[in-house]
Amino acid sequence: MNERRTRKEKQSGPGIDWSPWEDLCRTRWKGMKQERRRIIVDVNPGLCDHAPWFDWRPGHPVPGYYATPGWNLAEAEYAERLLAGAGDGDAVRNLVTAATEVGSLSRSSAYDGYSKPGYGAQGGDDSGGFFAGGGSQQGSQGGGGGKSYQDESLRPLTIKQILDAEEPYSGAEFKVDGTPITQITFVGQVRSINPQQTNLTFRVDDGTGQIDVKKWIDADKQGDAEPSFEIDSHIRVWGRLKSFSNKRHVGAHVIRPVTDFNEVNYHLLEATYVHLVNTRGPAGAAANANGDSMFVDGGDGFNAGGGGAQLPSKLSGCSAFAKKVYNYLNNTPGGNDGMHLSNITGGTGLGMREVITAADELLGQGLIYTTVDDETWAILDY
Amino acid sequence: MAEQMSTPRITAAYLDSFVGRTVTIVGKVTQLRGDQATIDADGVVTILLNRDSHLANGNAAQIIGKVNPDLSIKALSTRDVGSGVDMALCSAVAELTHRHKDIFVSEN
Repeated sequence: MNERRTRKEKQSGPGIDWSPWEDLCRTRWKGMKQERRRIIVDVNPGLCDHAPWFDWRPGHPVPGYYATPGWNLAEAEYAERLLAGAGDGDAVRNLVTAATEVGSLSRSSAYDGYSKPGYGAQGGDDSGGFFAGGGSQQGSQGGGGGKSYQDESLRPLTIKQILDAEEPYSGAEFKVDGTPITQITFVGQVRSINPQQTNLTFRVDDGTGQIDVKKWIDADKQGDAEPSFEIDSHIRVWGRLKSFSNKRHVGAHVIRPVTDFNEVNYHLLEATYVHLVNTRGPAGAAANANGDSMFVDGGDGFNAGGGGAQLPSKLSGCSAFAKKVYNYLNNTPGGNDGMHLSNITGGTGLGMREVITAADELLGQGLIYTTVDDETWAILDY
Repeated sequence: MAEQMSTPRITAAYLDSFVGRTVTIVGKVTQLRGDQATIDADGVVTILLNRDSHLANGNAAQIIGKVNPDLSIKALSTRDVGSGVDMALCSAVAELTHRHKDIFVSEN
């Protein structure tokens, strides 16, 4: 059996020797089988009865989002290759589902042990060792679309972005700004709470849109079935975007109340920042050569010239150089004819090219205008 | 859906371009008088409160409401958000949401 598969693999593959991985898979599979047995038989015999999400039976596909913590990229790729290449990949399929199953068993306690190391299988840890903080892996059985830990990320999003996320075909991974999203986080206000048998459903609104959030109830946890926040309060949600019969919801891993309102603004800034990095490239790549990010370091720019802080909203989208030039123009008394390029370079310590770029930016924003010639500018007051 | 999906974040300066629409505005409560309040959100805004508004003078408040033709706001939902709110940040964020409408504002 083993030889046949290996031979086939060799025929179809590009000549990579996968045998070390095969051995690794095999040993790890054995370990997982033992662990699975230990969890089901020894620790938690009634698990299937009170954990409705655990509906896996041998031979059934496993929902991707509960899949396979602890299963690293090379192993997953190897399994994928065998599944795609060899018709008789049953052994490997079992191997993958076995790993998946162990992963789903430890899912319920994954967030209590966020930072636990991956492979503590032999320890006295009764939640099993094969997880890594709720990270999971999709598509082990999807044929081709394998994802790995390395693709896991946590995207801050607005609800509008969540609603607008592209889903190329039903069941495909969602994309925002052309980047696949895995775990997401957002901040919003609770508009309604709807307790159900197995989950709590919230309607969350952040001013850009509304979406349903589902939090599964952990039957083992006292008080988990009761929502811990009131209507209209702000919450932060971490979870995954799901699509069920054409309706989107977020499967929440963690929900916590927002106690400091500044976090709401912070989140909107962060979401914008990530959106801009993904659509326009990292801040500071071009004109912003000193690496000042547009938002985070914005304060520097305002105050560089001293006393320029009364105009934050106008300048909030400008680069640090533009702010510096604007503040210099604003704070330097000097006639109606504005300031010449040479004065500005002298006054701000910036180079000619930087000042010209900054001036172009400010001209584009309608914040300054040229006066006697193309290299003399004044503040546009209105 | 008849319900407006997004409630754009605005400051006082944006009021006249949002008459008749439902908006979100955050400001510091400067005056409370019966069913009326004034808040400072980069400019003074008059809020017509509803019955279950519980605002505190001097604290920041987030108001979601409809902009009247006289540029006052009829509150649909009010929430006291405490005293430690950075108001410059609030107006910068409101400004930002209008610069990047593609991720903040749904047209409807």
